[in-house]
Formats: sequence, C-alpha cells, structure tokens
Amino acid sequence: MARRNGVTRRERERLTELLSAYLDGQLADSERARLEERLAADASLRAELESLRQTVSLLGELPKVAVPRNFILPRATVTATRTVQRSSARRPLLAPVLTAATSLATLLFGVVLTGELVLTGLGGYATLSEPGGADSAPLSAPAAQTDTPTPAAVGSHQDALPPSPTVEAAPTIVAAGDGNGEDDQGERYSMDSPTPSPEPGLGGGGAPVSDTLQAPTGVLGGGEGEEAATSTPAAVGEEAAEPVAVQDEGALERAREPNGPAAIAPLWAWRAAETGLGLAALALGAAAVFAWRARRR
Amino acid sequence: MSGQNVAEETELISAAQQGNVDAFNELVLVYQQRVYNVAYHIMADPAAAADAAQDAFVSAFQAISRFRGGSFRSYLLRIVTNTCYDEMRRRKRRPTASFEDFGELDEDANPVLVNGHEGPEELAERQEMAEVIQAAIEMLPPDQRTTLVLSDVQGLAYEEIAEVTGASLGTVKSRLARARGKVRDYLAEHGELLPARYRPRDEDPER
Repeated sequence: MARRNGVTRRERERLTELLSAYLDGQLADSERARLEERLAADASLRAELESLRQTVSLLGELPKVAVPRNFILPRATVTATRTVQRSSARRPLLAPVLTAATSLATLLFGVVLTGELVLTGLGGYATLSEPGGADSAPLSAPAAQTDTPTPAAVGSHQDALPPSPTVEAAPTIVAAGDGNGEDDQGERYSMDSPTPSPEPGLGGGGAPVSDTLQAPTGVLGGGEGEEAATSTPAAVGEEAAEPVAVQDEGALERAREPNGPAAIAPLWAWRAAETGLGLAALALGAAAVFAWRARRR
Repeated sequence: MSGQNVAEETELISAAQQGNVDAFNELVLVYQQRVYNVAYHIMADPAAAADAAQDAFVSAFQAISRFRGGSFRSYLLRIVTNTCYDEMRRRKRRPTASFEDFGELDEDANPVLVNGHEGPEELAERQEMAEVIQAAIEMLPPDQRTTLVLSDVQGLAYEEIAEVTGASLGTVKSRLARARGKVRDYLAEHGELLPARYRPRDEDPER
C-alpha cells in the first residue's frame, strides 16, 4: 500500500477521487493527460491506482445471489394491499375513533347496567315476580319523586335525585381510577337490601346515598377503566369527555326512571342492551388495540 | 436490452399501468434478480432483502401510473433503495433486531450463489471472498454503500446511479471514490481473510 509522505487526508481523498474517475474513464481529456503524466513519473501513485483497480475488480467478481423466491404479485395480494394502503391513509383517525367508540360503548354499558341494577334494586323484584308488576313498581320507584317521605331510604333518594348529574359525575372518575374493594362490597350489600338504611345516618343522607346509587357504576367503572387503559393511551384524552356524557346519560336515565313501570317492565330489554353494549365495548376495545399497534408499525 | 425487448417492456409497462398484474409480473421476473441483489448488498441480510424486494415490487406496481417513461430499471432500483433506506432507518429507531443481526450475514443461511461451472473448492473460495467483501461494504455509510453497489457490483453508469439515488453526477463520483478507498483500505487490513487468489498483489516497488 502506498503511503505518501506529507500528503494530507484531504489531498489523498482528492487523489483517490481522481484515480477512481480515471478508472471509469470519467476524466476530461486534459485532466486525464495530466494524471497520466504524474502516473508515469510516480510509482507509488501507480500502486495506488492499481490497488483501487483491484478493489473494483473484486467487487465486480462478487457472485450474484440467487433470489430466495419469486417476487411476483398474487392478484389478491395486490388488491388487498391497495385497499390497505387506501385505508392506511385514514389510519391516523381510525385508532382514536375506535378508542372513542370503545369509551362510549363502555359508558353506555355502565349506564344501562346501573339503571337496571338501580331499578331492580328499587322495585324490580316486585315487577319481576308479579305479573301486575306495573302496579307494584310505582309504589317504590315513583315514591322517590312524589314527595312522600315515608321510609328513610326513600327520603334520602329524594335528596339524591335532583343533583344527581353532578353528584354522579364525580364518583365515576374516582371509581374508574380505583375500584376500592371494601367500599364496593359495602355498596353492593346496600344495593342488595332494598332499603339502604343500615349505614347512612340521616344526617349524612345525601352523600352516602349518592354513593349507593353510584355503586354499580363504581364496580363497573373499575373493570372498564382497565379496558380503556389497555386499549389506548388516547383513552386518557377521551376520559375528559366522559363526565359530560355521564351527566347527559345520567340525566336521561333519571328522566326515564320516574316513568318506572314502562321502563322497568321489559327487563329482557335491559339485559339485551347490556349484552350488546358489553360485547360492542369489548370488540371495539380489541379493534382499538390493533389499530394503535398497526399505527405504531 | 435489445430493441425488441425494449418494445416488449414498454408494452408490459403500459398494460401494468392499466392494472394488469400479469403483465407486471413478467417485469418482476425480468428484474427480480437485480432488485434482490441490490437489496441484499445494502441490507446485508437475506430475509430483510427479500422483504425489501417484495415491498419494492408492490410499491412499484402501486405507483406505476406515475412512471413516465425513462429507464424502468432505474425506476425499480430507486424504489428498492428507498425501501431499504426506510427499513434501515426504522431499525435504527427501533433496534429490536439488533444491529449485529442486521450487519452480519447469517452463515447458516448462506445464499445460493449463482454461478455456473465451478468446482466445490472454487465455490467455497468465492463464497469466502464474498463474505469479506460484503463485510467491507457493510461498514460504509448508506449513501456510499448504495453508490458502490450500483456501480461496482451492478455495473451501472454514473448517470443511472445519479438517476436512481437522486444525487448529482459530482456527488456520485465523490461517493464512489470514497467508498472504493474505504473498501480498499479495509481489504488491505483484512487481506489475510481473502482466499489467496483474491488477495491484492502488493506491487509497490518501494517495498
């Protein structure tokens, strides 16, 4: 290998460039003539040229590599990839939309389940057991709104109902973040007994009862919170919207509740709605997870 | 490429532009060897090269309506080199498959070398030589690597390399010179790894 004294790296690079271009016949006539003169006079320059020529020749001797398979495009693949490409253009929106849909379905599911549990808790048993449930239900359910403060439970319900939208909104978030086991237990028990009188003293009537009402959502919220969390990071953004939705749905729910008999009677409809929404939430959640993964790819 | 072949290719291209996959596949069969080899030397990983080649053909078909004449080979090579760059960038960002996997040829997956009548010994030597040279190519930065592969392995002219890489002729020239210089220095340092008949003869009269 030729090493020329006093030649800087930059000069050497320029020289290599000259020699490299010379090998490819890329030098202008005048440049070539000048270089050939130098080559004739300088043995180390000739050696440099030779080493470069050998390198190029070795590279040219690299054997061709056989293709491991044919790369022809199957027709189905091509149409599929075209579709995928087209949809991938919209992909940026797909994942967040799926996430939002998941949250919405989860929320509706929670609302429907809450509604059902509340209703069955209040008067559903009677409704279910008696064919004339339409008669017995109003006894307990509308009691809450018809200003007849007889038992403590009803009275406290009355307290809880009017401010329900706001009251409910706050616990949802808390409950979704962390389903405190003990509280849930207690609340579930209180739900089971038609009268939630055991624990709340009359003084604290408003708050505990609103907890009681909240209980199913809380229990649910824990589960769904998880689901939303597994599905996407964007669910966090979605969370902010939830309380509003809860308020709306809650309000709707309350509006429906007083019409007790009509709303309570078709229990199967509640169950069907729960199943449908639950499955929808799961499916959407799974789709959202895939959408986010695909997006990251 | 002969005149007849050119006419045939033009016909296939316009059929492919109408969405004819079969016509495009005939072009794939003509160019797959070259496309795969370019990807192979740039990626230094047979499996990744195969993926890049396949992706490149899919992209080439999808974008073929935008092909406005010129060299179809350059069109394909541009797509495959870009595909390789994208993949290399992706790997750099998310080096799940480590750079070592990436940088070295899997010895078990020694590619079948296409070369007619060679004895087993010659074939083995040739393979050995190919590994050393591939190692030299791999240490080059991507731009120089691509230029070197297109020029000295694939035999493309400066003009076509400029077209494929989107660089000016001057840039091609200097990238090529630097790449050749580095490969030469690498081989000088690792010459003993080369089988004897491929070893550079030191003709420096001063030694």
